[in-house]
Parts: sequence; structure tokens; C-alpha cells
Amino acid sequence: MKKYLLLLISLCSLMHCQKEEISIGSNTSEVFYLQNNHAAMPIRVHGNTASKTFMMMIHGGPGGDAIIYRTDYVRQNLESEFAVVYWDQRNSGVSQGGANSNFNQVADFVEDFEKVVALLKKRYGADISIFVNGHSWGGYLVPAFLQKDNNQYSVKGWIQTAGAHNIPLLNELSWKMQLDKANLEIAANRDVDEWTKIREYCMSIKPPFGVDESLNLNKNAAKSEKLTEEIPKSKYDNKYFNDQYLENKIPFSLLLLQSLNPVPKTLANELFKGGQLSDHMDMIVIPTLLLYGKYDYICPAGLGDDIENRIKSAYKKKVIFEKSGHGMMAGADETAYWDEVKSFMIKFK
Amino acid sequence: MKTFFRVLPLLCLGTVMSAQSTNLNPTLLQTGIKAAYQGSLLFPGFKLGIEHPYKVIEVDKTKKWGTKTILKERYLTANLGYYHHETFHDNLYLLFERQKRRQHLNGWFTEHASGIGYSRTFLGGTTYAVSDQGEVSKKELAGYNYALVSIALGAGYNFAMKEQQPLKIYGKASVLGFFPHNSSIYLRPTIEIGVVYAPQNFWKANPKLKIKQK
Repeated sequence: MKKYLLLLISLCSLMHCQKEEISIGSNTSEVFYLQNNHAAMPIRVHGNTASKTFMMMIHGGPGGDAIIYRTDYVRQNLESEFAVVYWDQRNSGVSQGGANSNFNQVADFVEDFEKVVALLKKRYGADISIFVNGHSWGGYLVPAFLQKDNNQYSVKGWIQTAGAHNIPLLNELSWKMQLDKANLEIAANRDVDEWTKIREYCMSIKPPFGVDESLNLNKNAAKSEKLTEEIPKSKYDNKYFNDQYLENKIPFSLLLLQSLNPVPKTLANELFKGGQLSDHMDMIVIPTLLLYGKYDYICPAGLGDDIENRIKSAYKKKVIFEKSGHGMMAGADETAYWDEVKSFMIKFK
Repeated sequence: MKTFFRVLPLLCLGTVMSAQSTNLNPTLLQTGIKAAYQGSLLFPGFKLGIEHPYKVIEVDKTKKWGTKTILKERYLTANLGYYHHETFHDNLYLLFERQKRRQHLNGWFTEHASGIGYSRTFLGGTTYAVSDQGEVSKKELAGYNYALVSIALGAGYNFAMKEQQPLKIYGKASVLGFFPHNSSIYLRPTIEIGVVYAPQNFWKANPKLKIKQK
């Protein structure tokens, strides 16, 4: 029996040799994993690794995925000049793992983040320039990472894309924005039924908001964005993203299940209890680019003012995109958004 | 009942059934060896195993035109499966199923199965660990151990019924569930196309026979 077991293990090893390939070139495409605290997180690196300049996309959620940011525009305009790192966080995207619900605090995500940065530097060289671009929940995780110890000095710059660094402030701004917009739209006789529901809910609550109120505000923020006519429809539809998933060999069923996984939702609920990183924002001294959509009800542009007023960076720039909601990187302001990101990276790489 | 005796020799060749307490010849009853492609539409895999019949219920239904007979066959199966999902993982698993098959006398059958097992995955890329001091090390054969559950629905054809060949072909759709995957479950739909062959000198089976008249 032992003989057969050994044979089986050897066969399996032969079938699956984990060959280490590190590509330095202008058109790199590779996947490797970081295993930490019962999670194995895929890290996809695409683009120009020879540039020695890397942008880490820190995805939203919690529970989202990173490859969704890899649009045609990013391939053609970002990956041709820099390497883009798509890291699926623990319990998100197509990360794998075992019973890891005990490792589901912001501190666990920050630890993973630190290790991904260390791993990138080990694989591609200690002299690489790393920029971190946090979107939505990723915009909470990035400042949490930057504020810990000397982490900010391990990267060249911070790009905050509609980030959620202060949940009580976010809720208050979102509440006010939804209320104001609902009043305007009702007065203009547009989508009156839907806006009335949103207005009624807003009028029924007052800050400070509890967890349930925060969750409802968040749901209504997404509805408000859909109703806002000033945001042109994105050229990327569901089919486009499904094709991206197919091309990147993403298991659809896992992606679907991760979105239903209660573990990241638990973290989100914890944050909605009042998570905020404003108090220590004055620690930040690295170059910072703050990018928000004018019609973003999920993470309103006012959050950018809070960061801008607090950080001590010698270089800080805030841009508000006039035709965007929460997803300016793939909407009508796509070119303007990525141009800002590129210019920032070229300036500070 | 008459039907049963009429079809029995065929059934025996087909490794389907036996009677424990009748005067039927149980030595003709065999355990089948299964080989199948089992994967998703894009990612290949295989499944090898055995199916061992432990119970057969002959159901004779009286119709206006005569008697319709179906055989409700019960099997225990043991399987070794593997699939390769590029950049995601390779998965090697052992699966034990309780399988129910509804065999018609014209050879066609439908079946469903539920199972439990053990799975070991191997991550689909070079895997690293980073110590708290920032030291990076490569992890060989990194992956996870999971408990496995499965359900499957399928249909096939038993060549023993008419052609007297101890061979069946079948197709199945199944869902494999691996847990605790990220403290939850990972469900993987698969398709399976395979054959079951029952060599005469392989593992004998002695399923319990029941006859029901309706």
C-alpha cells in the first residue's frame, strides 16, 4: 500500500511541477502566489517589467477581484509602459485557502500587503518603483498599509481612487449627496418614484449612522449612480468582463461564491461600525494623487478633501472627474483618469 | 418475475445484479471498472474507479399492454479523480459515492449519485511564503487539503442488455464541493464521459435482490 501511495505522490509531483519563471521584459504575463495565514493569493503581473516601475491595483470589496481593472485601455496604455500587478486579496477574487475566518481583520490584509510588496521586490529587484492604487475598499486598505511602521517608504507614491478611508465621513457625505440629488431630480420630474424612495430613506435617518443604516446608504448610493444621467454608460459591458475572466482562466463559480462569501462581508460590516484612518493621515509624506468622481455617491469626492487637508506630502494633487461615478477608470473619463495616473508615475518613478 | 429470469443472463454479463437468496448464479456478477474524462468544458481531468453493486430492486409494473420492468440498481463506487486548471490549481481527489441507477431493459439507464471524499490541491503557480522579517522562500507543492462532497446526474447505455457485452457508456453532470475553502465552500461544476467495463475475473459482487410488483 505504501508503495502505491508513494507512486501516486510521485506521479502527482510530475504532473504538477511548479516551475519558477521570472520574466523581465516589455510584455510579461505571469501568475504566482503568496501563501500567508491560511490563504493563497494569486498575483498576476502583466506588462512592462523591464521598466522597473510597477503599479499595484488594490481592488475594492471587500471580496472583489483585481483582474476586473485590466481593461483594453490599461493593456494598451499602462501595461505597455509599466508593469501592472493584480493581486487578489484573501477571501476575494480567486484566492484560495482553508479555514481562515480568524484572519479576516484589516491588520491581516495589511500584513498580506506588506508581504506582496516584499515578494515583488524579491522577484523583480529591490530597485523597482512601486505605486499603490487603491480603489473603494482598496482605498481603505492602502492608507492602512501606508500608516503602519515605515511601509510608506517601500513605495514611491499613493494613488487614491474613490477610496473609502473614513467610513463615518463617507456615510455623511453620501447621505447628503443622495438627499441633494434626489431633491434636484424630483424637482426636474426625472425618475421620481426611485428618487422619492431614496429621499424618504435619507430623511428618515440622521448621522451618526449605525451599521444597518450604513449598509442601506451604500445600497442606495449604487442605485443613485445608476439613476444619474450625467454619468455616460461605460463601454465595458458584462460580456466584456466575462471574456476577460475567461482569458485569464478565472473559475467563474469561485468568483460567484466569493461574492457571496460571508467572511469578507463580516469585515465590511466591521468597517461600517465606524472605521476611519483620518486621525493618522498626517503621517503620510509620500507623493499622493487623489482621484474622485463628481457623481460618486459610494465614496464621495469630499473624502479627497479630508486626505488633502491632513497629509504632509510635499506633492499632493486632487482631481475630480466630471462625468464619473465610482468607476472612473472604466467610464467616460477613462482616458483622463489613466493620463493622470501615468503622469504621476512618470513624475515620481 | 418472469421478466427477471428472462433478462438475468444479460444482466449478469452486464455486471448489474445478483440475488442473494435465490438459485441464481452469483459468480457471474462483477464489480465494474470505470474510466472517464471528468473536467469542465475548458479544463481537463480524469476519473478512474470501480462500481460495486450491493442491491438490485426489480420493479414489475403491470400496464395495459403487459409488464414493464425496470431495475433499480444500487452501487458503492470508489474513484480517484484529477483535473488541471491552469494558473488556478491541480486537484487530486478520492471520492466515494452511493450511486442509484435506473436500468431499462432496452439498455438505457439514468443515474444519480452523491458522494464524499478527500481532495488535495496544488496551487497553479510558483508559491512563496514571506516571513515576518521579510525573508522570501519558495514553497514546494503548496496547496490545501479539503473535504469533498459531490452530487451527480447522468445517463448511459448498458451493452449487456441487448448486445451481451459487459460494457456501459455514460455521461454525467456533477458538482464537486470542496470545503472549508476560504472558510466557505468552492463548488465546481464538471462533466464526465466514461465507460464501465466488468472483466469476468475481477471482484465478484453479490448484491441483494428485491422484487416489487406494482
